[in-house]
This record gives sequence, C-alpha cells and structure tokens, in this order.
Amino acid sequence: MPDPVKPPLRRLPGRPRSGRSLTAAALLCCAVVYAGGFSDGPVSAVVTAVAWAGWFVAYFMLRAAVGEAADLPDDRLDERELALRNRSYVSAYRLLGAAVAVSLVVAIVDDAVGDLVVSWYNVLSALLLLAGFLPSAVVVGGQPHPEADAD
Amino acid sequence: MLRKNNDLLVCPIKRGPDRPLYNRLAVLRAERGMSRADLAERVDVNPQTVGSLERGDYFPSLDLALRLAEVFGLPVEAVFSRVPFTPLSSQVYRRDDRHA
Repeated sequence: MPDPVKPPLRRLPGRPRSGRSLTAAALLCCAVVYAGGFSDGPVSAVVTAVAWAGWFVAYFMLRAAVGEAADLPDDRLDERELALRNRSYVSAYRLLGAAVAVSLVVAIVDDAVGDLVVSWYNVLSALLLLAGFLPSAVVVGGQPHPEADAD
Repeated sequence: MLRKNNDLLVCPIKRGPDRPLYNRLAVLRAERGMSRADLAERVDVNPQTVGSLERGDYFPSLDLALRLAEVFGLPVEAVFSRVPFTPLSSQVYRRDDRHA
C-alpha cells in the first residue's frame, strides 16, 4: 500500500542534450567574472556584468534541465537519485575547495608582490557563482542518457 | 567496473571492480510483459533507476533488491547474483538433454 503521507517521487528528466553546453557556458561566465577582477576600467565592468547575466541564464536553464534534482528534498528522490545528489555536493565541495585554494595563492602573491590589480569582489563573486551551479552540473553528468532508458 | 559507458557507478556500498552485481531484471520484466515504468511504479522508484539497475550502472540497496524480488515473486538470489546468470534457454536445453 502506498504511503498516503509520503509525497510522490519527482520524475526527473534524462541527461539533457544541452547539459554539457550549459555547464560549459556557466563555467565560462565564472571564468570571465574571475578574470574581470584582474583588469580595470569600464570595459571590464561591462564584460563582467554581461558574464553575470549569462551565468544566471545558464544556471536556471541547467537547473530546469536536471529537474532541480540538486535542490529537491530527500523524500522526492529515489535512492539512486539521492546518492547522485549527495555525490554532486561532495564533488562540488571539492572543486570549490580547489578554486578557493587557487584564490588563496593569488591573494598571497598579490600581498607579496603588491603590483597585481585584483578586484576581490570579482574573485569572490566567481567563487559564489561556481558554488551555485556545480551541484546541478555534477547531477547532469550522472543522469543516464534518455536513449539508454527507452523500452 | 566502477565506470561504464562514461557514467560513474552510484551505489550505496562500494564493492570495487572485482565484485560486480549481476541481475535478471530485464529478462524477468520481458517475461511478464512489464515496462520499466510499470516496474518502477511498483517498487516506488523512477524509471531511470530501473534502467540503471539493468545496465549495472547502479547497485540497489537491500531494501530495493527485496522489493524487486517481491514484485517477481522470486527469492532475491534469483534476481541478483555475484556471478553471471546462465541464460534460461541454456538451462532448459540442458534439462531436455538429460531427459532425452
């Protein structure tokens, strides 16, 4: 007998065709925002703003493409999806840790050399953007191809 | 095998490449004219998970394995095994040979 209190499982889509493209686009936007911190002037600010906008578009498209699997509560996912979602956060945490470590090195070099032009606003923004879309990106990689599940 | 068809294996317990888990889900499903969606609904998972189980991309928990066995009315070792299953046609043919 189905549990009347338990909410139904969320039917997640298979691996979207655009998943890798959206992940690459979001990553590119993060890189542009990060790089924007190393230059000055109005052009850099405009490019950074465009990258921000592009990231938001890619993020919400990626999130919709995986059916919000990275953000759903536990009782809306089956055990495989739950394991995939948990693994996505572990992988995202490790990747973000690596990015923070790189930023730390840059900060140390900046402090030692003193000649680098670094906008830490851009650097921190890029790290936050990375943290935002990485779980969905890892989920995209773990979803099976829709053709593989055709009966 | 921990990586198959470029998909990372996701399983509750890491067994390693030397201890795979084989299953007869596709055969049992076909015998009963059951689609992946039908089976998925009966064991309360998404159809993609049934596909992942059949391909060996995912190893089920004990609870899920027992639920799957209950659907087919078989013991769990008739559905999942550490060694590759012998094709049913070979088993039937060998049995007919003994009676010939």
